[in-house]
This record gives sequence, structure tokens and C-alpha cells, in this order.
Amino acid sequence: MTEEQILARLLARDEGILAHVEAEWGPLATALAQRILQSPQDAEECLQDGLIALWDTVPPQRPDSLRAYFLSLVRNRALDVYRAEHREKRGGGVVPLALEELGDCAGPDSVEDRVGAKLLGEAVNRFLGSLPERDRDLFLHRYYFLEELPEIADFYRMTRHQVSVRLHRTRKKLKDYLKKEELL
Amino acid sequence: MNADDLLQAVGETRAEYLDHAQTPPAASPRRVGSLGRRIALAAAVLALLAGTVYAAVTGLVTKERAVGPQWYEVYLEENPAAADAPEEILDHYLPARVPEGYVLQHASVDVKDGKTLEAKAEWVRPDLQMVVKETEDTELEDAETWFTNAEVRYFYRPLKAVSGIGAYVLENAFSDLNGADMDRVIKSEEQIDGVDYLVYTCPADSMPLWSDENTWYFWMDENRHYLYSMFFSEPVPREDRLAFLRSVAPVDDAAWDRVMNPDTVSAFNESITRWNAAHPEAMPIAPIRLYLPSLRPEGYDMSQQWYNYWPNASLEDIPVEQWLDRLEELHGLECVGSDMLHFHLAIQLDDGSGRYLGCREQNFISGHISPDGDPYSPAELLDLLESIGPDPFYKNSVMDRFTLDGKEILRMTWESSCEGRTSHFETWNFAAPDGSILELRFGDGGAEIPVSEELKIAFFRSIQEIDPAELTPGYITVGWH
Repeated sequence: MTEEQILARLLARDEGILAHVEAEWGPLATALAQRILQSPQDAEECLQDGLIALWDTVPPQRPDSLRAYFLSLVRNRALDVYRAEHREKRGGGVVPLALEELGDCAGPDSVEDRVGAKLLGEAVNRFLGSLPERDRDLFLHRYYFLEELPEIADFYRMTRHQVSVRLHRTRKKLKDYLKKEELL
Repeated sequence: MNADDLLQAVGETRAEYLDHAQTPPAASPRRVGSLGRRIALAAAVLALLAGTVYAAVTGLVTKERAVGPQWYEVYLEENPAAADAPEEILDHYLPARVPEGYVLQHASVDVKDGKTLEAKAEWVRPDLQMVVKETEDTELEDAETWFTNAEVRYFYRPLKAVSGIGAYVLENAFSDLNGADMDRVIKSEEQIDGVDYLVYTCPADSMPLWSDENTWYFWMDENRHYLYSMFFSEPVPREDRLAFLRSVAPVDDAAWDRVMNPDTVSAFNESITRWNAAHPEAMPIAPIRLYLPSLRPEGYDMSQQWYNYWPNASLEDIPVEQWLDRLEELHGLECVGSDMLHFHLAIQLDDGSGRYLGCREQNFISGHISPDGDPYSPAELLDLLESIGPDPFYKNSVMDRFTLDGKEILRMTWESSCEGRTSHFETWNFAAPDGSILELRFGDGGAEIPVSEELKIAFFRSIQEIDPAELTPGYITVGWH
């Protein structure tokens, strides 16, 4: 089933499509949530929350890429749960590391509103578009899919150090980019 | 905007980027190993003479250029355009001959801006691969050597003290580091666009490391000091070489001074000290140190020594990438290339000025004078060396001082392993009558036949009888193979 067909069935309010979405994109979404939350049960809950959110928001949303949209719903949900559970402490897992690394290219204050958040998202996409493909891929593996370095290295048949160095360089470029865009 | 916002913002990534990221890379010959940097054969030398800063830095420049690329790399998996016609590109850009003993490991061509090709090829000598152990802290892959027909830049700081010594220093350094048979090297001078070049044309097989003919261009300034050099190996056509020489920016002494000035060095060393203190669990970073001249006995065959002086323990034990990361973090020095300097890893660091600091894995090569602008006295130099301490890249290194014939000697011993054998080294640093510091280096070459104390003392005493003006920059390893 294509994304267009799935979207059409969502717009037609065909609840049965959610089972298809779960079967098709669930494993990836669950894996992502599990990396964030380190718990299969919590990850499963995020998946279900993501399905509900998909149902509730499409329509009126008509994402260009339904798959990416669904992944981001689950991801965001997992991050929200993570924040709620880990507000005052640093635990294990990749999220604290990712945050620490991204701290290299961020400031101390949070974006105040949704407009700011939207602008930041657009800027990040422009930045990603400016990168060589490999560097972009590595960045996304680390900070979107929140994968551990050995996992990324294995996928690309690189060493962990190579991945680490390239991510470091990309974060530096991101910082310069955000400064240039006056977002930092 | 904090890190959390950024993490959230990454969640807005476009679908096509996500799709691409999840697409497994195309199968390609696995790199045997990489230090993450382009490595090519090059040579660098640093000599510090009393009152004078003399620095030579090798630079492997990976800049885009519109003329005859000399090294090639086909990113088949990254550049679909290249993947469409790899054979054509490879045929056009790869040299006709793979250096003897090497196997082509990786080749790439990257089209930039729709007009410029950056092409690279890398060769590996399989018999020189090293097995690298992995620890919790490092994950070095199998070390490898890369061979490319690369351009090399030398930045020679003129020896202001003695006019005309430039050529002398150059020739000896050239021979010393490359093992070149200087009797076969054809020396000439050439003027290109008003710039005087000293040209060394090295016939095929006149050096241990390159079987092809190669040509070196040393740029002379009006005082006939050599400030710059470029190295081309076949089959780069002459017109391409000339075009490249013309395209290179003139040496800017002001920029060079800025890079090499003592404030930069001192600030850098201070930041290293702070970092080391704050990170006791990490591999300490060696501060910039002085690499000092020593005596080479007349007729001593250096080339064989260096040819057998293969990558030392640093490639096995030292997280080079981590070290380089720290250099970037601490001082904004970006590694822009790395070379096998006679089988030592040499790194070129760009501080953004377009000039390079060169360093080897065991020390930094840089021009250096004392912070207050006056040259170090020998005693201060020894103190400085001692304060830096045994090089962290050496194994089992020990440093101490002793006195011999009324002269204070700073001694360091260490081990270096390669190809399954361990070599033991010892250096003696002491003051020469002219105020410079001399270094004698003794080594057993892995033969486990230690240099006797009597021989060390004999060498030491023989140096005292030699006019320091006859000393040549460089260093000597006395030992066996």
C-alpha cells in the first residue's frame, strides 16, 4: 500500500488503516522509541499513542510524507515521556548523550513558542540539505533515530571513531550555521 | 534554543533525508583501516637553532583544484554522478601505474560545484598493515598505510642567522627525510611568473619510498631562503604543475608569524595543560614541544634507518582521532591531512589562517621561541622538555637527568613496536656550546641489541669536539637492524 493510499484511507476515516500503519511502520517507530526510553513497554505505549495522534491529526494535517510524520509523532511522544521521567536526573541511554552532544551547538535557553520551534525545524532542514549525504545520514542516525555509535558505525562499515569525528565536525558546522541564522 | 529544542527540531527532518539515511550504503571494498585522515607519504623536519626559529611543516592539502588532481577517490556510494561513470573517471584520472608493492584500496572522484573535481586514490601496502588492539577507550581499526601521489607543502622558515644556509639545510633535510640519493637528484632553478624556484628532480628509484620520478619545487625568497615547496610525482603533466604553482597563494610572512608566534604556542600549551588536568582519565595531550637538532656523523646512512623505522606504538595504542578531536576543541586546529612521515604519522593542522602546524604523533613540530621573545637558553630548553615530560605516545617512557663530563643531560627512554617487534630508544638532550640543544637518539631497531653505554658515551664525547656550525638539522638513530 502506498503512502497516498494510506492517507486516503485516513482521510476517509477508515479505522482499519491503523493496523496497517502499525504493521508497516510500527517496528521502526518502536525501535526508535525504545532507544529513547530503554523500555519495551514504554515504547509500545508510545507507538499506540502515535497511532492515536495520527488518527487525531490527519486530517486536518495532510503531511507530504505520512511515514515521516508518523515517526515524528512517536519520536516526539517518546521524548516527552523521557523528559517527564528524567527531568532532574541524567540516566543511561542515548538521549542524554545526544543532548549533551547537541549542547555543543545550542544555547541555554529554550525556544519560547511554536513559531520559534517551527523556524528552528526549518533551519535544521536547510542545514541538513547543505550537508554531504554521508554526514547528513550520520547526523540523522544519531540525532533523529538516536542510535548508538557502534550501531551507526556498523551500518556504514566505519569505525566508531570515524563516526564520532564526523558527527563532531557536523555539530560544529551546525553551530556556525545556527549562529549565521541568528538562531543562536 | 537549547539542546532539547534542537533534538526536537531534528524531528522535523524531511522525509527524503530520513529515507536516505535508512538506505544501506552500496557495497564497496572495505577500507582496510583508516585513521580518518588522508594519509600520504611526505616528510617534515623541524630544527631549532639557537636564537632562530626554523620550522618545516608538511601539508597534505586536500583542497579543490581545477587542474590535474593528483590524488583520487571515487565516492561511489556517495556520489551517484560518479557512480554512473566510474570507469571513465578512473581511467582519466588515475595514474597509469600503481606503485610497486601497493594495491589500490580506494579511489574516488567527487564533483563539487558542478565544475571542480576532487579526485583521490589511495594505495595500501598490505605487508605493512598492523593489527591494532581495541580497548574500551579506543576503537582503532587495523592500521594501514596509504600511498597517494599527493602534493606536499613544506614551509621552511628561513634560517636568518646564516645567509645561504637555506640550501644546505634543505638538501640535508631532503636527503635525511626522504632517503634521497642526492647524487642522482638533479638540481635546477626555475623562474615561474617572477617567482624563483629551486627544483629537485628525483629520478625513478632515487628514493626508497617512491619508485616514480618526482619533482619538488622549493620557493626561494629574495634572500634565497626556502619558504615553500611543492612536490609532484608523475604523471602530473608539467602544465598542470605550473598551473597549480601559479594558483597557490604567496607565502605570507605575517600569517606565518601569527601561526607560529609564541603567544599562540603558549596559549595553546596552557589550554592543553588545563585540559589534561581536567581530564585525568583521558589520554593526555602532549603540549607543543621542541624538536631539536642533533649530530649526524659524516657518511652515516640515514635512509636505511628510516626505511626500517616503521609506524610506532602510536598507531596501536593512541586514539589519534580522539587526540585530533581535542586539538580542534581546544584550539580550533583542524586536521587537514596526515602523512606517513617515514612511517611516522604526521599530522597537518590548519588554524584557519591557511598555514599549517605540523606535528608528529610524538610531538608537535612548530616554530617556537620563548614567550618573551628571547630565545631559550639551553638550561631553559632542557627544563621545558622535562616539564613536558615523556611523550604520551611512547610506550614505557621514562625521563630523567644525569650529568656527564660536567654537562647536564636530559635522558628519555621509550619503546616502539611495529611489525611484531619492539624497538627500544633513548634520547639524550644536552646543550651545545653555541647555546642550542642537541639530541642524540639511540635505538636497537627491534634487534634487541642494546646500544652499549660505552657507545653512547663515545658518541656524546665525539659531539663535544665538533664545531656546532657543522651540525645539520635532524636527528640520528644509532643502532642495529
